[in-house]
Amino acid sequence: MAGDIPILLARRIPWALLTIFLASILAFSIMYFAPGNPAEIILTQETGNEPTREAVLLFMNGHGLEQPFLKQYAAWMTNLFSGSLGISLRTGDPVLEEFTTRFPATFILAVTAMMLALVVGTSIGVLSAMRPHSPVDLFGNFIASMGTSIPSFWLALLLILIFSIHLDILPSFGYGGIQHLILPTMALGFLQISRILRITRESMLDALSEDYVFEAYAKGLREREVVVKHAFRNASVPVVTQAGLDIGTLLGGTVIIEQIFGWPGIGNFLLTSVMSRDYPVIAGFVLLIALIFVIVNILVDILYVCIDPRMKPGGNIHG
Amino acid sequence: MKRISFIPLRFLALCCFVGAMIITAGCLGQSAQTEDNVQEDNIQTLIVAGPADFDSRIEMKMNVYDVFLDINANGKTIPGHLVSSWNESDDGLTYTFQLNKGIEFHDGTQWNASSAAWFLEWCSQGPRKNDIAFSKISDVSEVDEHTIQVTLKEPYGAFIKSLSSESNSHVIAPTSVEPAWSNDGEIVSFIGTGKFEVENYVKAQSAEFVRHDPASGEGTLIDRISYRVIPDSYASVSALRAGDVDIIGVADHHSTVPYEQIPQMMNDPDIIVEKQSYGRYQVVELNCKEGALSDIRLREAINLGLDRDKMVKELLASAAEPAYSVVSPAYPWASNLAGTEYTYDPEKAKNLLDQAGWVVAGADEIREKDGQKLTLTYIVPQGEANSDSIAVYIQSELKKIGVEVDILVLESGAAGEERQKGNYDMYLHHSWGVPGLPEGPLTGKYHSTWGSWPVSYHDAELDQLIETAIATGADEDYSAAYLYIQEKYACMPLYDIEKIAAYRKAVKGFTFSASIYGLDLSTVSIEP
Repeated sequence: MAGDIPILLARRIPWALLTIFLASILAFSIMYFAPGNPAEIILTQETGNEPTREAVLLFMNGHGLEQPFLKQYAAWMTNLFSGSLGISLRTGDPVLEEFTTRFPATFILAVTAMMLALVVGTSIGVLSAMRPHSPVDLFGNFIASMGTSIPSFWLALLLILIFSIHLDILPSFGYGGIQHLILPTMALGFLQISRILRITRESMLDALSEDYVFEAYAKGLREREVVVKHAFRNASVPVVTQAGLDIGTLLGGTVIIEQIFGWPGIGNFLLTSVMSRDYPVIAGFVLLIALIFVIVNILVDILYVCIDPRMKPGGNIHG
Repeated sequence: MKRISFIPLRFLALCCFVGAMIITAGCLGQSAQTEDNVQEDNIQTLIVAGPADFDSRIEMKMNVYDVFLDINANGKTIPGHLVSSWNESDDGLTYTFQLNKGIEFHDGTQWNASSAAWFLEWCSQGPRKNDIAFSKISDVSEVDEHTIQVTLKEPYGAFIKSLSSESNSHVIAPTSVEPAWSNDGEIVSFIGTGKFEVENYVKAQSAEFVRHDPASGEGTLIDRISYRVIPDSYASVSALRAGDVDIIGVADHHSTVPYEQIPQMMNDPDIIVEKQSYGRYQVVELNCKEGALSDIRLREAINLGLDRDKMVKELLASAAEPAYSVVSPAYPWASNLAGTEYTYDPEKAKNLLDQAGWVVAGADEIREKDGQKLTLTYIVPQGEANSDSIAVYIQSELKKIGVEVDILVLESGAAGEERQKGNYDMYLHHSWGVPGLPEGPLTGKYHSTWGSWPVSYHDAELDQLIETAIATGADEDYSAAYLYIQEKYACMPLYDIEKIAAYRKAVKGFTFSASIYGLDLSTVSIEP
């Protein structure tokens, strides 16, 4: 199996690099051609008033914004190949510094929410599949319905109201110890819990009706062994797929959660940069997020091979 | 098949574990929070919440830095903490500044002619060189230890006013740039002459300040400020109600406290809400060049057809003051606007529309002229405070007098582009406040060549009035220009966007600053 991974990487990496490149050029182009002048927007944000024409021209000349698109993009690419993602028009700091300052917070939040979703979602999903129509299954359905129907921002505010204002046991905002992580994680992970729960339940129901499961029981294996070692292993491929796809959703979902909980991640900063037409930040952040997303997808592919040997390169899925 | 009962037990155990984790962490959080708010050894810490990083907002910096010159509540430039007086040469090219003595920066560097001259040179050659005022500087020289002389490349009437701008004229120490004393160095630390110095700063998260001169904080005055970033305005209200922060709404020049939350906070016995007007108006700018609103009778009609009292009472919880004139008449530069207010008079509005030839023809009761319906395009940039509810209200009010309003909500950048092209009849906008008043709206909107509003009201007579006001700086000249704009119904003023501060009852001594960007927390104390 270990020998299959280099083959898989050799196939995936060129496509991954192309994807990252296209994502960045697309982000840069869309922002450049979108209506709105970054100089005007940024100067207005700084003072709250419209800048004079003279001030706008000074800003544009100072940042090379009067140059045509291809020249600006070429300059950005030249910077990229020299290891720099440029300077933020809004803050004046290097884009890479802005990203590395904020990304750890987003990463912690997204990973914690995913861990919560995987633990709670798969646990309740497996239990629901094993005991259809039982109280546990009904509870699982309830959680799944709530997760898909409650907007995360509303849940966030509700959690603050209950745990911070009324019970006064958790902080309403901030970044620090584990106590600051609980509410944002719950708000962000709730939708993922419901998705993982549903897909786990459906996959487990399919797996538990397979012949090999009955055979395993017939051999006298304990239920725990049958469920965990046989059924769940086969049922986990779609769960892993869903979890991989949800990483993107989580990175996107952090925007509103970070804003509500004062969480210093990339989401809110990127949103503000989009509003300001801060091209270097948008292109740089998109490039880095695309890179992360591609890495996650490659890891998911490797995980497939580990879980199901039929998924290896050249493997026969129908074998 | 026999079912083993380990599953429900495991599930129960999992639930218990998760619950226990939350409670444990909650208790840890509570103890941490208690630790946060405890006043150790009588050290008083004020926790302030703001919407953005400390380094990107002017207001919190005003506790660390002084501005080169100061302003009063009427936007007039006055001597401040750093400069005692100044004079200007007849040709408008040379300014001589007398510096106050005995002032030093937080790191001990003296405030004198050397550091003052360095500061202005750094402004003209370093990161602030794109500011118009600083781009005009040709030379800075030291006359004596406490006097400097600044020579401009060409006369610039707003030079002195620019030196009282908190955003670009807060004075930094020559040792706060890298390399120290270099004319184009980048700021690497926050060293000013203000009452508080920065002790710790974590980008995008927080900043901690300690009083620079502990003796000045004797008694019950706060010794420290802890600034925390909470981007969401509703979350900051929750944090205040939860007791996690002491004061909100002060660390931004926009009104960041949601109006609809004000009644709830005012009903909370532990919270005090205060408002301060800076003459900053929410207005609907009108296209006076093309389309239906190029007719002054229509501009007057839509102004008289809007019930501002009802709007403020029902939509803004009476947290704002209705605006009946193009600029607040409370200021000396608008003293002659009394008697010209845009009062609610729907009948007169209908008569004006009739006179202009717009008559009700169809069953929809929308007026028509030459087969064209009276439909106005109203652009609402996203992010403007209360914009959605106000837009719908205006739409419903104007429909009563036979005017149809098409609301077009656009992302602010896209809206700005449409504004530049003049593709609108009505455009929601927040106007200037002190210190931008009184010249801001005049130069930015109503002068035919200086501003960036190509289809706002312009004519040669108004240009002359504005140029006279800017040249003399006299209140009566500004007042004449504003009266002219008022009589031309150049815009539709809505309400005064007051700055709102909300703080815990234990916080005492908070006062608003003269400028919308100012913030002085040195007078605040916290009752035990």
